[in-house]
Amino acid sequence: MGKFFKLVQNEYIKILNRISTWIILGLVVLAALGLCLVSVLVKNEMNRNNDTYSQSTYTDGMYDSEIAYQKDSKPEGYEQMIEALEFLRDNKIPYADWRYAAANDMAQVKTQLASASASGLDDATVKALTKTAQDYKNAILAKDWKAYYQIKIDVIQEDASLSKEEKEMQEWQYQYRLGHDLKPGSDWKSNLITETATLKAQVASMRKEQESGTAQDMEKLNQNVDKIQANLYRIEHNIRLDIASAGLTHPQGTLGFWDVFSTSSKMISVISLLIIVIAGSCVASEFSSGTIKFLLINPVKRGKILFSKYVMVVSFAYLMLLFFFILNALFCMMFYGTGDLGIPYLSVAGGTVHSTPGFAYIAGKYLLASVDILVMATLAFAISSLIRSSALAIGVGAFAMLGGNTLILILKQALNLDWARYLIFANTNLSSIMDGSSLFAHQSVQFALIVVAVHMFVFLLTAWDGFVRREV
Amino acid sequence: MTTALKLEHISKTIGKKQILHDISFETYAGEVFGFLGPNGAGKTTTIKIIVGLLCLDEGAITVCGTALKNHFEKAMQNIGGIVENPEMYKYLTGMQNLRQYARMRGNVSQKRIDEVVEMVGLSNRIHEKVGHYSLGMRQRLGVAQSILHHPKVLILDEPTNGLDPAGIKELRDILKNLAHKEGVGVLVSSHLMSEMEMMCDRVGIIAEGKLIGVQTVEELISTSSGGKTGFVFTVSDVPRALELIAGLNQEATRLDGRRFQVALPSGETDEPVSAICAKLIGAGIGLYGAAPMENKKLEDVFIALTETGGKQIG
Ligand SMILES: Nc1ncnc2c1ncn2[C@@H]1O[C@H](COP(=O)(O)OP(=O)(O)O)[C@@H](O)[C@H]1O
Ligand SMILES: [Mg+2]
Repeated sequence: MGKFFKLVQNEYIKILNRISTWIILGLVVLAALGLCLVSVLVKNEMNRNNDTYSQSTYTDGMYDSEIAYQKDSKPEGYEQMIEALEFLRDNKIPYADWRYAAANDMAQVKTQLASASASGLDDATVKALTKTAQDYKNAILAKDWKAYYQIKIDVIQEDASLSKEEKEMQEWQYQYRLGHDLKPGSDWKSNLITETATLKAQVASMRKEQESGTAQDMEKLNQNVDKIQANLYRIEHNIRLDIASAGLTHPQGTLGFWDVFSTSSKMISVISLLIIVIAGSCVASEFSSGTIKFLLINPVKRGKILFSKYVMVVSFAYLMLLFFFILNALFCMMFYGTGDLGIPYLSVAGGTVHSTPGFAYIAGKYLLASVDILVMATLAFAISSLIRSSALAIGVGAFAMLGGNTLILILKQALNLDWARYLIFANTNLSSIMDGSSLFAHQSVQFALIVVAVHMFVFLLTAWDGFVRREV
Repeated sequence: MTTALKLEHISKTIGKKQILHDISFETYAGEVFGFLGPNGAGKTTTIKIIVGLLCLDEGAITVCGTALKNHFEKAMQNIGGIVENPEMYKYLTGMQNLRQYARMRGNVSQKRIDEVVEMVGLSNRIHEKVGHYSLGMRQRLGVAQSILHHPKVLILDEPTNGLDPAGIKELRDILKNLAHKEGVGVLVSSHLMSEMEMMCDRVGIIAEGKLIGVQTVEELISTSSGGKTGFVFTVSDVPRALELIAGLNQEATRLDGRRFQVALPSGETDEPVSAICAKLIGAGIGLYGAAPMENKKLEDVFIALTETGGKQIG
């Protein structure tokens, strides 16, 4: 065992004394730094495109165009709408304020009232509607959001067309805010409550359809139920971010640490290139430089020498992953600070929410991505041992890594060949297979792992056979 | 004498070409064995088989009593060597290279590495990258590498390639020292007879994949003339002359229809020669000439034995 460790040590010394290793290592550092720099550009771009409807300060004239539109095209209830808009303007209320929504509600009630008096409703209803409209107005003027939500609840309660469950579902978010004293706004908690309310509505309608006999996507339904639970957990534990959906392309709020750090797990192909170069050259270069004779003239069986090289490749791959992980974490901290580090990743299983440290979650993503590296490195290693050509081994390895997905895409999408699911390239992306976004329907993780294991075994056997029997 | 290395009936075919034909010989602990043959004779092929670079198709190899085939690691523990050119990792220093081999062999201390480096005269340059070494320096590094772990059998394939005359002498001293003082069984291959003559105790001659013979250097030289001076007589009747000379208690060998040779102790040839001449003339045999042969070197023997001196490389 000690002797085998020394063989691996030898391999590390050889690799670390080569300039090419350090150049590629430098590229890995640049890749991590580059990600952070790109994220800063994305962030600036995002700030520029800020949505006007989330505008949270009032500016003069912001309602003019809408008032003009209402006056011009006269849609149903335009008089009440213009009244409400002018009211908003006079009180200098911006879009993002809850009072904007309240003024809209008020306009709606008044429209209802107008059509009601035209069709001659009973006095009691007219009286009730007039009171509701006035209550809205009072709440707005008093800036009393609790009163506003109480009115919303009352309106839902009094709606005779709703069942008890529907009432509960619709009033949930108002009750929740009142109960938790959560003032409306455009902060993440408010957004999350709105999202949760939508999810609840979806779940309710799916359940209703299910009862009436229509088959439902149970997976989607369960996902929504879990998501509702996780959202409530986040609000209660004050967890600002959902790390699972963080990313450069859809950041939550302003771009932050987890958006960039979690994107880094998709850049692991940079490391695969480094590893493929090392795996593809570590056997072949001994032959091309003639050092193989001095390597094999030792009291060590060839199988052990080959295995020590493979152990070096695999352990180096994981050391590189660790290095890349730490490097990205450090760069992200440098660019985005350390404020968000404590945010956990939430997963829901069997109705309970589990919280794991965010770093552990990202590390898991790195590990899943490492399967791809491992397979391609083993392929390059086998070619290197069999054909004794570094160039060919590195070329095929890199081509397989970069072209494998394209090949699968062509076979499946263009030619619609389902057997492509047995190919190694359709099975190395474990994370997409896990979340069900694989190209092939019902591709399971167990199946993928078996395909990967079989390929690895064949690659290693080829490498071993080629190396042990070779005449030098 | 204990056997260090034993080859029994080694044959090797690569592709369709049979390169080695039934090679058998032994080397002993404490001797320098020369493995002599012209280019392409099969020296490197034989050595590659001994150190396990080529697989052994036919025959058996025993290293210090251990069969190479069944106990590779144990057998190799006793072998050190250089095969063909000393190609080491160019991007590592000489010392880093030696440490690589030290780690693979176990039981090699830093002290031993320094000792070996001193022995091959590389102390001043050992921390330079091997890429900057000359062929001679790499050859020295190769020798250092081969003796790191105190092997009982040392196999060097044309180790004098690229060495300067001083280097050759140093190597000779190192090898003689290892063999005669430390009891190592050394096998050195070469296509240069002159240096074999100086460093070897015994020589095996190989040509076209066949082992022609194994003899001590003295034997080899004396089969033709060593220590004695050969006198060649040209006469009219060789068989009768030989009969007569047998009576004189001299050993004579027939060379061809007109000539025979008598080996006489060098420096004391005058009286026997005149006695032989008197006898021949007295018996009425025509004596046309009597001349001493030039003192033959191993080189001549080698060329004569292998008969490839003027031919194409086999
Ligand atoms: N891999 C090979 N394939 C075919 N022929 C070979 C191979 N290696 C050596 N030979 C042939 O075997 C013969 C002996 O070569 P070698 O052992 O290198 O000779 P030398 O005595 O000069 O070291 C040569 O004729 C050579 O051409
Ligand atoms: Mg040779």
